[in-house]
Amino acid sequence: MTRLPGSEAPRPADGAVPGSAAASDPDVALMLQVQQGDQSAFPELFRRFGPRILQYVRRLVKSDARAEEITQDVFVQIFRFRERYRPESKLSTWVFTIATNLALNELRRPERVLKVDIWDTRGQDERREGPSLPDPNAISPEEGAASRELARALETAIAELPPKQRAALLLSRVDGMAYRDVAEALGSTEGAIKALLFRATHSLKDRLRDFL
Amino acid sequence: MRCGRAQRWMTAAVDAELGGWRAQALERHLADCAECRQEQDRSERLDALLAGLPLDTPVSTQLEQDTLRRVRIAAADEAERPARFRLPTWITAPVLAAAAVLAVAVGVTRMSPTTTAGPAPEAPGVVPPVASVPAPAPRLAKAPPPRTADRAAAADVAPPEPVETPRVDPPPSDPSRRPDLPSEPPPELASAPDLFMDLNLLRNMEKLQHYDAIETTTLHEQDGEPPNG
Repeated sequence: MTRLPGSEAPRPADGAVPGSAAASDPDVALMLQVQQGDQSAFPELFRRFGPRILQYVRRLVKSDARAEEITQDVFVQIFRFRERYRPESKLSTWVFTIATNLALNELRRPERVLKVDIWDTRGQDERREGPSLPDPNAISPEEGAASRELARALETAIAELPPKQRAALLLSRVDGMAYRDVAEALGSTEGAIKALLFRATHSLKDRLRDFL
Repeated sequence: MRCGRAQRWMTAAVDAELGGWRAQALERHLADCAECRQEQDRSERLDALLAGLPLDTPVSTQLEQDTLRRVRIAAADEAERPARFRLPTWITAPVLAAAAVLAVAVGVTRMSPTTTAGPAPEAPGVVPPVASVPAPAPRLAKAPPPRTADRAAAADVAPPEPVETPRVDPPPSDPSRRPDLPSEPPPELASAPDLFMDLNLLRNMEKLQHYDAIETTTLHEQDGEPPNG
């Protein structure tokens, strides 16, 4: 087993029982390998979560370039704080918590608001920021019953939701996380998540009235 | 059940997060209310659309390489950092915040007027320079004389020997003289110094420059304006 230079001697995380949790969840097993300094585990972790995190952050921040930056930051944070992960919780919840925090921080930055205003005055061709439309080829007929036009309208409607509603909706409906996990990722309660989802779906149904 | 509540519960029902008597009550309401049934159908169609959205997006090789390179740099940084500077994992942000609050509270307590009513406590470790003078006899029920008078009396008895204290050099201002820093940058830094720049720092620098530019512009314009009156 090759070891990362910053890793300490192999040991399980405090209070962790690698055998039971790792045996049932391969993600947890992978993260335990990262904690123990296995150099080959982190690229595997990136390959497993990178595409999902990139897509999630892209939909949250509505910019491909910033989504890529944040995705990098997410994995650097995962590495730096790897000792804080406890196998009692799902790895995906922990990873999405980091991604959500970084993405929402990005959305709160004042210079981002300024940039959006600047882009709004430009022509559509010059726009590099703003709502990112989906790749039409990414949705195949087998994967979704929706047409390309409907998928585009849906992505645009999601992009217009407030950030927290958007995050809750994406985690719950697209990534299929339970309310409890969504609440953990957003640092909120299940009741608040229910309210966010109700408002989000209500808005989407209004905006997609012609398609539903 | 009212339609408003039924529609709130529909969201949870679609997510399979509604159970027990609530699910049964919603079923009963939907059986009687055509409008809510229609809303439920729309909710289910929307859910199907959302579930059909692509869960992930292809990650470019460049992004993967950049990310893993940053992780390797972070790992190398950890390896170079002395172990004594690493905080234990149980020291998290709340613990640090609580410690800071406690430190401030202790400082405020020590500086509050209630504690300064009596004689000011001496700082620990401060030894007066007249330690060779024999101690005066203890006088009960009388306050000790002020320290300056005490020193003057001691000077009458025997002039204090000049005590040669070891000279303590101030910390070197030149960072290259600090012993805990390497004399040369690590090879990774020497080959690609831009990789070591903190992105947040750069963002803050951009912000500062932006605000500085605004302020400069405003001052300049104000200078060009004629004075009032």
